[in-house]
Amino acid sequence: MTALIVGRGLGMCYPGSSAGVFEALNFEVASGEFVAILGRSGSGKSTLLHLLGAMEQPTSGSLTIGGIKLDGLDDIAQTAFRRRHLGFVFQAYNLVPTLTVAENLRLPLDLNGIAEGDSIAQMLEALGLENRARRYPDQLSGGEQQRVAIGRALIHAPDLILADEPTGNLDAETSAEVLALLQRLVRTRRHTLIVATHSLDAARNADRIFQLDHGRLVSP
Amino acid sequence: MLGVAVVTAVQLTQRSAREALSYTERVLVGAVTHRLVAQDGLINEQVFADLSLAFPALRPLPVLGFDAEVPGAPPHALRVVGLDLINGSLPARGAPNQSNSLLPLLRDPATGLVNSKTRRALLSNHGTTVELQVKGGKTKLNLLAAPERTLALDLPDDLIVVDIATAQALANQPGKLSAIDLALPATDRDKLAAAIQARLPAGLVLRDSAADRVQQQALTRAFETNLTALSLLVLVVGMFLIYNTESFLIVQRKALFGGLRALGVTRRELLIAVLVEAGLLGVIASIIGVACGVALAHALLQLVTGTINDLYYRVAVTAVSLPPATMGAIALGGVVATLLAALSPALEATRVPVTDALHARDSSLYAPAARTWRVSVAAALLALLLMRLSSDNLWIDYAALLALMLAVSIQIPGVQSLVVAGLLTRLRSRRWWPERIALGNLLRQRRRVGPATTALCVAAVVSVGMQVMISSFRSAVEVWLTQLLRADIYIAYTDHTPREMGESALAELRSKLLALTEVRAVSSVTRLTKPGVNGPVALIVYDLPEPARAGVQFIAGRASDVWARWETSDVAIVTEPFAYHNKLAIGATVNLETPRGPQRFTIAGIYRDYANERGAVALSRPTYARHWPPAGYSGLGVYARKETGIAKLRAQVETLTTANASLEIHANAELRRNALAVFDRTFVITKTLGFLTLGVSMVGVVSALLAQQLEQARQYGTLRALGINGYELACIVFAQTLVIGVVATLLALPLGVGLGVYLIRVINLHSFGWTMPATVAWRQLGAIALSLLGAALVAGIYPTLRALHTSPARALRNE
Ligand SMILES: Nc1ncnc2c1ncn2[C@@H]1O[C@H](COP(=O)(O)OP(=O)(O)OP(=O)(O)O)[C@@H](O)[C@H]1O
Ligand SMILES: [Mg+2]
Repeated sequence: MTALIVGRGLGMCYPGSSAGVFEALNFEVASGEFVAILGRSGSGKSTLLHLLGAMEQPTSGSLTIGGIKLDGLDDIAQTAFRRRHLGFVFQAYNLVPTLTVAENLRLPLDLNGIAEGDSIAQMLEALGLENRARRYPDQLSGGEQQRVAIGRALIHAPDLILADEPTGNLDAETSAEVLALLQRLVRTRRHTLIVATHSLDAARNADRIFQLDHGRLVSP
Repeated sequence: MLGVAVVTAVQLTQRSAREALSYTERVLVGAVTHRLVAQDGLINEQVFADLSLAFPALRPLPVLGFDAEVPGAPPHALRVVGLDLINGSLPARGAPNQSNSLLPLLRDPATGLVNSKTRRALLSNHGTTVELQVKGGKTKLNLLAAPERTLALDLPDDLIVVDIATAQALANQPGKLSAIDLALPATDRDKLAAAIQARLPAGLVLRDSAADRVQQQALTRAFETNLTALSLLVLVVGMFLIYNTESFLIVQRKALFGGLRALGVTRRELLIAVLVEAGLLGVIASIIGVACGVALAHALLQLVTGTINDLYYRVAVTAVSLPPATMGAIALGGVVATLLAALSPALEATRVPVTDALHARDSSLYAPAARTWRVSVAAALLALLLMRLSSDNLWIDYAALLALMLAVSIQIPGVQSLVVAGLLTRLRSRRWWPERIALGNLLRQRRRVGPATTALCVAAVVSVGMQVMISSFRSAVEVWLTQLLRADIYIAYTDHTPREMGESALAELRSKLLALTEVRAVSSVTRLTKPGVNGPVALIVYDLPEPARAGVQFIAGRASDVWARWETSDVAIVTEPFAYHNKLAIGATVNLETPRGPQRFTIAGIYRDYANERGAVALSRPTYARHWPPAGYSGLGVYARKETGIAKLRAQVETLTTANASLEIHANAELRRNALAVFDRTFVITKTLGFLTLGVSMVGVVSALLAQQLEQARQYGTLRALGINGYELACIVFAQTLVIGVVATLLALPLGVGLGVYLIRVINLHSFGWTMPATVAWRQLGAIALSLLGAALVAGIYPTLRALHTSPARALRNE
């Protein structure tokens, strides 16, 4: 299997802070793989996801996703890359509050100029939210909002899904449901998924686990 | 903190505008309203002493004015005015001790005060004294230049101010005065005037200064009236801005309030806390606002100075100071306004559900619009009721205007939402996704955006309304002047006071003019005040030869009928305001006191006149002569036989009048130009304040948009993460301002024209009795619309730039 993501000597040091968050990370992630990043709070999970998400530039090393070299891209190119190749799921759901559920799902399609067809209806069905299409995010429960967010991350068939503490705001039962949904959809659609979390539960079904500890990747 | 700064800034600008309005108003209202003159020329000083005793609160001002000249070729004509300097009737700018510069005037009886230009012209660099020729006699006078910027108003050219005692000595008229000026308070002014008139010895008349200073006085009143209306509207704008800021402050701290409620703070306690905070903000902002207001008022005062400069005796009572009590009242008003505007957001703060705070969700920000239509209907009904009630009471008109404005303005957010929703259904296509997000934001955040749009829109309405009113007024005056001013040359006394027949230079001039071959006709006018049934009446006695008659525009009555009876029977024509205020129609009678008892004059015509808002009665000179002893002239109009002979005629008139410094000569065009120049200067302030209001509301729009940005930082971060680049995000933000600007402009134009029509048809009609066609200067409205759009876009620049530089990672971390 070819590697979708290749990180070589990846280092990150925020401007103004003395020590780097991590340095010289080397890793590869294959297409279709489900990787969980584990680590204590402050270990750099979100930072790594931001690098993978082309929202921040590494201070050293190189990062390639799907053959595209991410380090050295300018903001416009980064944005275009995110738009086409990535899907995000956040801890705080982050739906666009002024758009309805259906409109939130439609947004990535519009951004990428993909014809709508019946993909939104299918996605709503897959998410179990058929009767919530016209609601606004603040009219949904947290679990429902996160399901919409998952749909939004997947609907334009991106190469890579990045999820940062996707169940951090949910109770144990809902977390399990949401995780199960995410994994099921990712597997059936053959997406690559990287989840950052500090809960072992969330990492249980992962193909591989990256453990971040004092700036290094260690195998658990 | 940002909120506090915004509140302060908004309050400050808005307060200062309002402060300036009332300040300027006071300065103008404080001026001389009445002048006491003697029919035979001079008043005995004893009258002044009696008057001061009987009405001490009025502080009457003795005046002795006369003409003088400095001999030479050509002689330099001057006006000398004696004022009571001991009682400080020539007020200093700033601290009272600055008036020390006036002391020499009192110490040295032969000293006069002139402006530095006149001093240079008279002294021609040798010595400090000038030889003055007064009524044949010669005296030496020491000239002092009025120190620049110490007097409340600058002295006009060729005017010498001396102490009253000095004036009496110079004119060799000990114990005599030419006039006594009075500033009667606006409340029961007419009653007081009647009381004073009743006490006066025979031969003395109390004249309403309005009758003398025709154009200026009337315009000043018009200007004040409209200024009051404007200031009330500025208040509306200000309240919307305060509401806007307060609700922002509260939305921002929803979680805090919810938390406090969870901890057991009662609704009441929370409400009180929020209101106390708003009150404190109001106090601070009001204090700063009053200070800035005074500064602004001084600046504005410089604008009016031009208008009232030439009215020399106004100098005497225009004190540039605002009593601390008034300032306190204004500041208090600011605090009360803040509290009122903060009340609704504060109530909302107390209704924050505890659960909202605990779940970090904000349901109210996107709450559906409140049912505003009931308030609107109630306000509109109230406005209609008030309009029914109102006849001559301006305050009722103002209240109706406010109610109407309220009814309309609280619907503006709703209308905006309708427009936005309509656009949203139109822009279904994928291409429009940034616009759809922008519109969605506007629609779902109407609570935030609504008040800002409203403030901007109301400000624009005020601007447009003022513009319509002023341009209608101006074109009406221009048309009227063009019609009225038929004569080629006008000659009048510089002080517009008719002289008695015996010493009348104009009477002499008139007969000389009639003898000239170039002269086709001479018209004449005498302005008098006569006791009528309901107080003094401004009486105008006209000699109207054939060519002059075309200048009278009748609103009621047929011209041919009028002119047929004009000189032979006891008919009068009255001005439109006179007919309006006294509810008179054609065929009614005017009762005037004559030496042989009361006499009725039948009204044959009602004519247009913008000169005197209290109205006047006009009689022909023969009619007047049948009931009163002959009167002198106030002014003459000369009609040239040939168009080409005007220049020559003017030269002849000038030679005929050189000996008399108290006469002024104006060509037709010159007079019209002067009148319109006075008009324009008078309304500069109104326009300036209109734009100021617009500026203030821009601050409101910027602050509202910034508040929106703060609230949406996370949303923008998400959008950036989803692959929306900085430019697209900027488009979204910019589209929001654009929609606000377009909606505000589109609503403001028709509403503004409506306001202008209301000002013309109701406010100006009720306060002056003037009717005028509403003219809309489309070019100026276009300019306002463009500047409004431009302003809204400018207001969007900063938020747009912020959006452009939103870093997704940072925005998401700050969640
Ligand atoms: N913008 C920034 N500037 C400087 N330092 C930063 C910045 N963002 C994060 N850091 C630091 O980088 C380190 C890693 O932060 P990061 O958010 O990646 O941790 P995390 O593993 O996601 O923690 P958590 O589990 O709490 O979300 C922390 O020490 C943090 O203080
Ligand atoms: Mg994190």
